[in-house]
Amino acid sequence: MDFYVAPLAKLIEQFEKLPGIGHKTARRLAFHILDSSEDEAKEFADAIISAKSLVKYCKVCQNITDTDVCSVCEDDRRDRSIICVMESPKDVISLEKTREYNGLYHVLHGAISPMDDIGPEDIKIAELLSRLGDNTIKEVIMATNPNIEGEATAMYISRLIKPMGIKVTRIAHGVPVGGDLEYADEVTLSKAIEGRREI
Amino acid sequence: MFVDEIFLTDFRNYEKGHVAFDRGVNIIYGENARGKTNILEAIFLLSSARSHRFSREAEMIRFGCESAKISASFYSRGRENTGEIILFTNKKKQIKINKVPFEKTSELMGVFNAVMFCPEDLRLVKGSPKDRRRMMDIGICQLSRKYFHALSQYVKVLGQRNKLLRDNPESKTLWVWDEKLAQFGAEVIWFRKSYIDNLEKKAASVHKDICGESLELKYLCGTPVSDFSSKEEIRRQICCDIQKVREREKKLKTSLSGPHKDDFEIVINGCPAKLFGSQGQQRTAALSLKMAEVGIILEHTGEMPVLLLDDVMSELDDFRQEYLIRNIKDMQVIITCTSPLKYKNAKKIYVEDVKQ
Repeated sequence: MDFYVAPLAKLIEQFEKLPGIGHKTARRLAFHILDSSEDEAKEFADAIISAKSLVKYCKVCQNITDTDVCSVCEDDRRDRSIICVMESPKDVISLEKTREYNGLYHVLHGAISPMDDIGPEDIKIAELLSRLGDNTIKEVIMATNPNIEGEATAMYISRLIKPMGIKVTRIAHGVPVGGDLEYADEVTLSKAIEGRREI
Repeated sequence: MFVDEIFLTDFRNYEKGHVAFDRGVNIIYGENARGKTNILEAIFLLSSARSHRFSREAEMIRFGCESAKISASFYSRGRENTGEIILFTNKKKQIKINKVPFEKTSELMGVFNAVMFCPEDLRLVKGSPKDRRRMMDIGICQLSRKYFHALSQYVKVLGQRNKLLRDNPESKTLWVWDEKLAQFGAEVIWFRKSYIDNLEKKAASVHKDICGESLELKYLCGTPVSDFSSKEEIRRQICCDIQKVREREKKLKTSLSGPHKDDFEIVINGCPAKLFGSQGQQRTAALSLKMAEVGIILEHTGEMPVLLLDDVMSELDDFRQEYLIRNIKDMQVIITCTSPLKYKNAKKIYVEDVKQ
C-alpha cells in the first residue's frame, strides 16, 4: 500500500471490501473516481449516504422502500388476498420482472438455519403472521429457496398458518423453461417427473 | 472391461513405468516394498477417481514432484478407449477419457469399473459400522445419482439438527428438522435396504460355492424400522422413533435416530462373523462381498469389471484360491503376490520390469 497516498489507499480499501471486487478492480474504480469531477464524486458519495439513510423496510411487507409503506403494498390494483413469502428483496425483484404475479409480498430477510444461528425470531415471521388476522388473505405462497433451509422455513411457517384456515402453497420445482431437457441435472429432472401434470 | 496397458509417470515410486496386461489372469510378483500395490492403485484410480487406500492425492505423487500422470488403454462399452488422470500437488486433478475432459468424477461410473480386494477389506467384517456405511455409500453412489443427492441433503439436515439440539434443545423449530430428517432419512434407508438385499443374494450364493456355509447380511437400521415396503412407511416409522428418543436426544444433545447410525451384520451359519468368525471365515466373507459387488456392477453396466486382488491369495487356502481362479474366467484379474503363483495360463509380470 506504500505506492498510494493515504486518501487513495483508503478509497481502494473501501472498494475492496465490496462483494466481487478484487484489488485490481478496486484500484481501477478508485482511479476512475479521481479522474472524475468534484461534482460527480460528490454525487456518488451522496448516493451512498442517501441510499443507506432513506431506504428502509416497508412497515407491511418488510421489502425495501423509501416510504413507510412500499409501492406494492399501496397499489390498489394488486390482489390483496394473496401473499408471496420470499427470503430476500432480490427475490421480489426477480418475481416482479415476470409481471405475472399480481398479489402482495412478504420478505423474511433470511431462512431458518441453526448452523448460522438464525432461528424463527431472527427473520420476519411474526410480522407475516400479524398480516393474516383480518380475513382478507386467502392464500400464502411459500417461495423460499428450494434448499434445505428454505424448505425448512416454508414447512415451519405453513404449520403456523394452516390453523388460520388460509390456503398455503409451495412453488413448484422443475426444469427451466426455454432450456433443453438434456441439460437439466438428474435430481431436478426426477423432481420434475414426480411433479408432472396431466395435459 | 479390460485394461490393456498402463503408463505411470511420477506416480508413487515410479518415475516412469509401463505394464501391458493379458485379458485373463495377470500376476504381478516381486519382493516387498517394490510397488506392486501401486500398480493396482493406479488402475483403481482410473475407475473411481480415488485411491482404494483413501490416500490424499498429494501422497500419490512421487516425492519432490509436482504432478503424477497415469494413462491407460482399456476396453469397455464395446470399444477401445484411452484414459488419463493427472494429479497435482496444488490443484484439482484432471481426468480425460478418450482425450475428452471429465468435469464430474461421478460420470466415470460405467466407463471403466474395477473392484479391489485387499487385506484392508477385512474391515468390512471386523471394522466399525463407519467402515460398512462407507462401503454402502460408495457402492450405491456409483449406481444412483438420486441416492447421492439424498445422502448429501441428509448430512446437511443432520448437521442443522445437531447444532439446534446443542444450542437450543427446547426450540420450537425442532419438529421441522425432525420432518426433514425423516424425509431424507427414509430415502437413504430405502436405497440401503435394497442394496443390502441385492448384495446378500449375490454374496450368499458365492459363499455357498466357496465353502458350503450359509451367509446372511442383516441390515441394522439406525432407526428400528420393521416395514420397508415403501419410503412413506419408513418415513412414518422414523417420525415415531424420533418421538420416542426425544428426551434422550435433548439430554445428549445429538440425533439418536436415523441412517447415520446404520450398520449391517454379516452372519455365517447363523453366527455373527464379527464376533464368532475365525480369521479364515471372515476373510472368505469379505471375499464373497467383493464378488457380490462384481455381480452388482455386471448387472448395472452389462460388463464384468476388472478384479484387482492385492496380496490376498497367500491368505486363502488352495481350495479358495482355486475357486477364485475358476470363477473369474470371463473377467480380467490382476493379482499381486511375493512369488509367482503356480497358475498356468497367467501372464507373469516381475515388478522390477515395470520400471523404465
